[in-house]
Amino acid sequence: MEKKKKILIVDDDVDVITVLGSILTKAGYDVISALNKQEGLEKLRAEHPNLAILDVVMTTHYEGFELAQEMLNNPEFADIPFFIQSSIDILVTSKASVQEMAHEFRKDPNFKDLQVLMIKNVEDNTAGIDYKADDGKTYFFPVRDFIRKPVDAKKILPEIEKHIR
Amino acid sequence: MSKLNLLIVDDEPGIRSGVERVLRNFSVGYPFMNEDFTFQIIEAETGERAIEIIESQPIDIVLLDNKLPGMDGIEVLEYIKTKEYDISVMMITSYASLDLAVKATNNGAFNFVPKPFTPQELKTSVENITKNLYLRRMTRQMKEDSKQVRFQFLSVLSHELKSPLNAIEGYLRIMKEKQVGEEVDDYMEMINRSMERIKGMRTLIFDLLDLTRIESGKKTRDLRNIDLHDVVKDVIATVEPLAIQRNIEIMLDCEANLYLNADKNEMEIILNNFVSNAVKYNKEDGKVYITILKKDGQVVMSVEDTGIGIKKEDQALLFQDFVRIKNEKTKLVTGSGLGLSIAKKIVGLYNGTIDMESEPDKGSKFTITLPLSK
Repeated sequence: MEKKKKILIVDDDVDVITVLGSILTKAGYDVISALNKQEGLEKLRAEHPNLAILDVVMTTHYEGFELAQEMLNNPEFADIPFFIQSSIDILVTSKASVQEMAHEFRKDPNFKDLQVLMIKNVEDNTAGIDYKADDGKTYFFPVRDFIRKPVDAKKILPEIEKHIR
Repeated sequence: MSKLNLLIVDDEPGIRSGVERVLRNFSVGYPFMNEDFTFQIIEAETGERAIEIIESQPIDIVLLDNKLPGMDGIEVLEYIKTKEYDISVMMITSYASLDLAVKATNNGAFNFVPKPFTPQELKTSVENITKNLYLRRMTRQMKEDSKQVRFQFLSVLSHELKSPLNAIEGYLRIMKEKQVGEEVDDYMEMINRSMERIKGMRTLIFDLLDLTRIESGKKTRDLRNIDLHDVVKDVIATVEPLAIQRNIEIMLDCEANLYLNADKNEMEIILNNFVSNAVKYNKEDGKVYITILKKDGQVVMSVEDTGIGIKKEDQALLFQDFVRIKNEKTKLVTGSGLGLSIAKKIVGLYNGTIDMESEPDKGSKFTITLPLSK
């Protein structure tokens, strides 16, 4: 029998972990969880999951983004794909580069003041996040995908299939 | 010392160098300003040149002659207005007419100084325009800051309102799809958690109302001599059911007839927050010690528990709006994240202080000190 694939959920809401966990367990995955960035890093290191699903707003405002950036910058975690799961609205584009699009959105008076821009290219499925941190600077980093809350089994399972290592 | 860029636009070189000479060592201060302003003088001989300069570097103040060889001063003024630059303009001209003065005022000129002027007249005018500019910029800055604070509060609030909805909707969807079984009993844990989250949401709404009332200053405060012994007795009675469930003992050390000039409702909110936290974040079979006493012209109320404690790095976050410390030990406890921030604001109304000591796995102690005389 094939070994079960392992998914790490990082979310400060224990109920989101319960809901998502029971969906993923039923779908045949091994589920582990963490309630904050620190625990998340520990679990990533100890368990080396096949995929991570990260919440954004935890004890601090952009904890999930900080964790995501650490995953991107640390070679130890470079092969672990992750999703960002939140209830922030997603902006859609068909522009070649999502980072370029982020710059465009930042100039648009309707969007320039938003704390977070989550941008997804509908054609090639690339995605990225541009956010204004507490230091007033904006940061951009690429992500595999976004998942909207509330958790919906029908939407999340196909996405996981697509990206899991 | 802060330097303002002052552009003098006049086709007469004598006026330009005169202004430069008068303002070179001139400075403007306000008693409440952190620093004095001095001036960096930049010269332009035509309106066209003035616009070039305005476009290429930040300018704060313009002294503007109207009668210029090419475009008029008033046209430069119109240009500044159309582009909405943050520049204060003072018109200086020898051919003053009412018509021109009206036109200049309509285009936002700060004032109108007829030529010739004495060095003292120039200094007085520049002083006025500088103070006005400073106040205008400060006002705008303060408005933007408060808008920013409000915006941030609302964005966190919307997150706090969405979280329980997301949790409950997730549970309902699992039940609807009968993901974990056919019987209602298979879902009892999820039903209980959903009810808990609804309860949390209700607390959030009540706390939010309290907070809004305190912050808007709209809450009518009823200050009178109240007996803190009565207040704390009521608070213990409210928290008791939860304490009994977890077998936590609440001990009170407070003499009867301990009077303080205060609003009863506010004292209830404060004590209720600390006592219910001491129960919520305690261990099973734990203890809560409440001590209230008068000392050195102050009322000192302390609430100590034998609970999970708070890590050093989390302690700093504790009194901020919506901050809740989430870890393995707190994950099932619901709360609005506003309780301590409300308590802190109320204690502030009495010029009081809150101190905390805490050690993980040992417990926490919060001490509220309120001065007796206002």
